[in-house]
Amino acid sequence: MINIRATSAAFKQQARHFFADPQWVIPSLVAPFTFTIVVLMLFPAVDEPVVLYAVLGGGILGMWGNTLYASGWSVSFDRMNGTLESLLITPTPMVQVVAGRAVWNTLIGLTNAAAVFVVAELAFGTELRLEDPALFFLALAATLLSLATVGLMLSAMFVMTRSSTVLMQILELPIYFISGAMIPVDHLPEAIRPFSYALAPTWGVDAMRQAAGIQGTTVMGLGTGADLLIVAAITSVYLAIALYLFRRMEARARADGSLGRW
Amino acid sequence: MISSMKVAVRSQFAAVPLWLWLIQILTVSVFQMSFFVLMVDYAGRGSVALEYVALGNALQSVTFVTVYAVCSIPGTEKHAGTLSPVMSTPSRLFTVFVGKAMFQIFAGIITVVISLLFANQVFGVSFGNADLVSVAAVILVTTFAMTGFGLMLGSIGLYARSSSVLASLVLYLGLVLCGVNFPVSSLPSPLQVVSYSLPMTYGVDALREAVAGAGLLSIGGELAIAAFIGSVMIALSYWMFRWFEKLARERGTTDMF
Repeated sequence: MINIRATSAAFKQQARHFFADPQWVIPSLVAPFTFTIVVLMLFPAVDEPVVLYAVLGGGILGMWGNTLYASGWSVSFDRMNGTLESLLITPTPMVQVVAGRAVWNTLIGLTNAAAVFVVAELAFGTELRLEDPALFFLALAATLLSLATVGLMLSAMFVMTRSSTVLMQILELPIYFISGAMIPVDHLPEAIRPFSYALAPTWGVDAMRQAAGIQGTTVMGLGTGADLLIVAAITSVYLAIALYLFRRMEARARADGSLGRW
Repeated sequence: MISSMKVAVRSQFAAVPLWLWLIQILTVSVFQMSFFVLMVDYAGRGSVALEYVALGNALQSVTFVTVYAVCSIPGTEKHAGTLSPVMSTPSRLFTVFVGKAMFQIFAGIITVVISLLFANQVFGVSFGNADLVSVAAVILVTTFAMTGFGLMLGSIGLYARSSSVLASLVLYLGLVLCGVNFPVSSLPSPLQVVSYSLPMTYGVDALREAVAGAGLLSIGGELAIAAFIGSVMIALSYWMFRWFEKLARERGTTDMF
């Protein structure tokens, strides 16, 4: 049974954490922002389609960065502060608490996307238009949800290891690379493409591009509807994995008393 | 200083196994290079631009180890609760942190060498005409200079809540400002002033020339400027460590993170 009250309380708690110390949004903002600017500088001609393409990609990378660091740190931070054990013994399953935090972290990633958009608009002076705004925002919401479940998975994984900070740094750039957010999937080496197809954001980004009216090849030639169905399917798999990992983490922590060790 | 270096090495590999640490530094440098090389290819810029970007990113990979890792040292000490005890020792904090940074110099050199090998093996960047002595000199001087930069920024972490945020800014803004992916001349003039105050700008330029066959005398000017900037930064960091240490003691911020 989902405890909506606990999940929303965790959402509010994470929000308060963020507003108490918002400096941590900077690291997850800087990388996608600079990547977007460099990408725009690399194109011979910077017109509206190129800017929209780069801004979309940069926005997704920003959301990914925030999901990775904020959600990845979420449970590790509890461990460092000694509050993880208290969280574990509450009646609400930990996964529901962390889910509330993951949703906030991914939402705030939208600020990264907005910042990239605004700066690119100011710097390159193009007027960006979306071909189908409703479909675009639906695809954006689906992508956000998929990123939140990735954050949930990562939170569980990172609790089980002392090397969470290192793992976060390892995971950041590969996703930039294989998600198709900046470099189209069909332009990646063939050996890497299966990893791209297994990522829900890959399909979400593809749907967003099509809804925005960006011309070019689509992932596997599929339309927006198919993309969104795949996002939903893969997100469900991520959610199942996250639920399993949290159950395993809790059982292991209770058995070997390793929760407080970091 | 030497015992600080030994402590840094031991604590590094106590929490993170060597193999994972290697994966970390390689992943960051290799994926970043691959990202921009493939982007250049996608943007249709041609093979010359590809080599330009690959070499720039290969050298820029040293920033993650020398600037980001060094800059994070005060924050790590604060998290572990060891900053105050270290500050209470007779040794100057600057000396302790230089010792901790020395391991990062070594790691930085390894990172760049592996990145260059990756550029050669995967992206076909040719070293057939390269002056290897010049290449080695560029790597050493740039690593030294960027470590100085990291120390300078890291001193802020003694007083401020965190220097990691600043390190992140420097790590990624270097991609825009230092001629790593496109010439500095493409930037607006005010930004070029910033570019030419950073040692990495001279390092990437010198590396490209060294790979094209330029000898030490040809790139000597750029290396000298990079070494000079690095030396100034190390001198500044000595003064900044003293100042921020004093501020941290007065305002009790050594446990603030």
